Amino acid sequence: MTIGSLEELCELSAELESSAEDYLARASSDATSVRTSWAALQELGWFDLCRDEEVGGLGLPLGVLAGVLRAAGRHLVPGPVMEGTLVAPFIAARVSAESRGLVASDRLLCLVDPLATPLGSPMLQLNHDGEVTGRVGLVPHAASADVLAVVVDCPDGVGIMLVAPDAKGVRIEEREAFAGMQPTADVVLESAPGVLVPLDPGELATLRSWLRVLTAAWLTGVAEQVVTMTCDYVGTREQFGRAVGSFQAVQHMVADMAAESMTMVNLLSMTVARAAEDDAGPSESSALAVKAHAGRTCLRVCESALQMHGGVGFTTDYPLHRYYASALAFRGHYGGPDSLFLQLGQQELVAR
Amino acid sequence: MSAAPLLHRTPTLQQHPASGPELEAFRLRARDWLEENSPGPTPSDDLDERFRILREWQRKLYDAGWVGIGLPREWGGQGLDDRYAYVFTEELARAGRPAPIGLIGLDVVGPTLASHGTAAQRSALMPALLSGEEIWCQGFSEPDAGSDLAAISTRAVLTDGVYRVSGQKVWTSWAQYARRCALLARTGSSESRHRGLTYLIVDMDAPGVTVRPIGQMTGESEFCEVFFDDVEVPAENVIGEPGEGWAIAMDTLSHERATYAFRRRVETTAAYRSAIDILRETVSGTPGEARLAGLGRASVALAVLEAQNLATLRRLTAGSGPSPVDSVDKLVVNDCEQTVFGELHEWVGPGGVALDSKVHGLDTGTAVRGYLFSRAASIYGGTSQVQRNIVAQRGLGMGGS
Repeated sequence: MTIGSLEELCELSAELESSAEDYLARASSDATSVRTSWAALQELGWFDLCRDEEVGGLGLPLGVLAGVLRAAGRHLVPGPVMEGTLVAPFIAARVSAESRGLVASDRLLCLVDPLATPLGSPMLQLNHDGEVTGRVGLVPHAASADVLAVVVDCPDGVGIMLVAPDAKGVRIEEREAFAGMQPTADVVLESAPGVLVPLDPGELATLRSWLRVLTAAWLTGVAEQVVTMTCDYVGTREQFGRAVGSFQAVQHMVADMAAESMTMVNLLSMTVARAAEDDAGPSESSALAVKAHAGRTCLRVCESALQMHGGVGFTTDYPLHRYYASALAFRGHYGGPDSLFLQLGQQELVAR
Repeated sequence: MSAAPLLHRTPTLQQHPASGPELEAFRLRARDWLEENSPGPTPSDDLDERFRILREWQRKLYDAGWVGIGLPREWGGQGLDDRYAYVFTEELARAGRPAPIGLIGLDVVGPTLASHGTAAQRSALMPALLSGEEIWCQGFSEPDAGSDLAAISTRAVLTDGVYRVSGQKVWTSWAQYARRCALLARTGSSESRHRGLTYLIVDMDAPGVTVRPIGQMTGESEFCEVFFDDVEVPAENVIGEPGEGWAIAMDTLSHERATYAFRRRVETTAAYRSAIDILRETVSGTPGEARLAGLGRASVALAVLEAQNLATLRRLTAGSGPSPVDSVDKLVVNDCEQTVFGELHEWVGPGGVALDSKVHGLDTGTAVRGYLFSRAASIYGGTSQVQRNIVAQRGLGMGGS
């Protein structure tokens, strides 16, 4: 990619990010239904940003999504946003023309991937009739999806099977979640039919790496909003005749929160810039690193924020709990910090 | 929100601040040269020998045109800018080579003289500063003025065109090898705090200067007490104007913090990579998940510092001066050093009770000293507690307590 076009991409990405933030700041954050929110985002064009031009999208490089997901995290946008902005266009570019409608931008897509949740579920398998069998627990948004995109092992490699939630052999069992967490469900498939989109193992790895990066972007937005919220609170809340933020113990904890959230932003920026320069997308290790750092740091920021808010931060009357829940829920998505640090360490000791 | 600059959001996708064909060509030249040239190993337990090796290395770098990269050619520099200096730092890290020894000269005094020195001062001092022929030390802290630097009391009294300096400095790194001292002394009244300070160039060989190395818990004496007993300093040795010392020192502090952060990444990366090289050869079987995860944490800490360095370089090239973000940078460097050296130390574990053995091929003395030095990181250059005050008050607009 030439410098000229990377520069243009950065400008475009900054504009998208800023208009996303403008819209979300104005939009009501009260319990909007996923469908209403989805329709608004579709209207904004979020789900066409990275869709190929041949199928009516803008064909933008995936790097622009990091800023969009960061803004989305700041506002806890409901629904499968990562899936709609990244996975659906990815599939649309690879699926046959007659099946493209299955991943149209007005449909809520849910990605069923055993690697996303560390329950050790094995990869799902296809039988001779091309039907899929297997079980994946804790799949985000499965209960509200219009289409399940199921990652499968094929005889020749890997692929994604597009399965209708009401197809035969499909059972979806909703699980309980706190407000702010992405809702999950167990997906059980017994010889379920669907449309297979074959993939190279490299393509699947790249998709998963991007999902790690975008999850890190979401968590970065969550952390930023939590820091802002905390600064506002400690600047206003008074005790002992002064703002609690004027006490040094409070200042030091908030300073650490701000510094930590800045490291999340900077690592995300470095990772996405490098990914944007490489047609192959983010390297596996850079995706593991940005996700590990975001998963660990966002939770730390939330823990400190709760401490700084005192009792009111613990209630559902105040918004912190939803951000905290989101940080908890996405911390383990595609690997929690412990598992990712272990993988990175193992990679370090393998001689290159 | 200018009261809270740290809450200002930067765009997510930004270009690398040091990219482009000329920088790439420079990078490749540096890479080739560094592959061919190395100072060899530096002992962790012999300060004199380490100093000698790194000083020779500086001379070699200087002769090949790799020193003073951002300083003008007329003073012995390379006439380039911070981006080139950064690229060279990256290539040093990549090659596992150390930074030169005359760092107080290169990172603090050089830029100070460049911005505030006279032509005579620059032509007299710069070439030897850059080549490492003259080593500089920085006379700032005193026994009663550490975190509270404005409380310094080393006095400089002007009589007939000559300052007479009396007082004591402490934590003066490399003073025992230094030819010159960049000294902050009080020329104003005792109550004048930061307004009555002057920045002076003092000859360390002048009569009345006594250097006493301080023993460090790591077994070395990298820093010293320096006593000034009626030392004569010509009035031409003032940098800037009398009474401007604090303003000048603060002005160069931001740049110093940036180059310091770049350099610490070089050095920490070099230590990490050489440990990894050893572990790859020696570790057999399964080392245990805790230690492997520790390496993962260390590698991420280095990536976090690199990302922070890139953001800092953007600020430098945009010409932004001192900022509360400098304090965030310092906290990030501290965290990276303490994480990396802490994790490497964990690999030697209980074997560290003896400083002269090997565990998993790692030298225990190196690991223990590296760990202890990393604990000093959050003390020198402004303690983490002071940095947090700055972040909160000047970065987030929180009221003073």
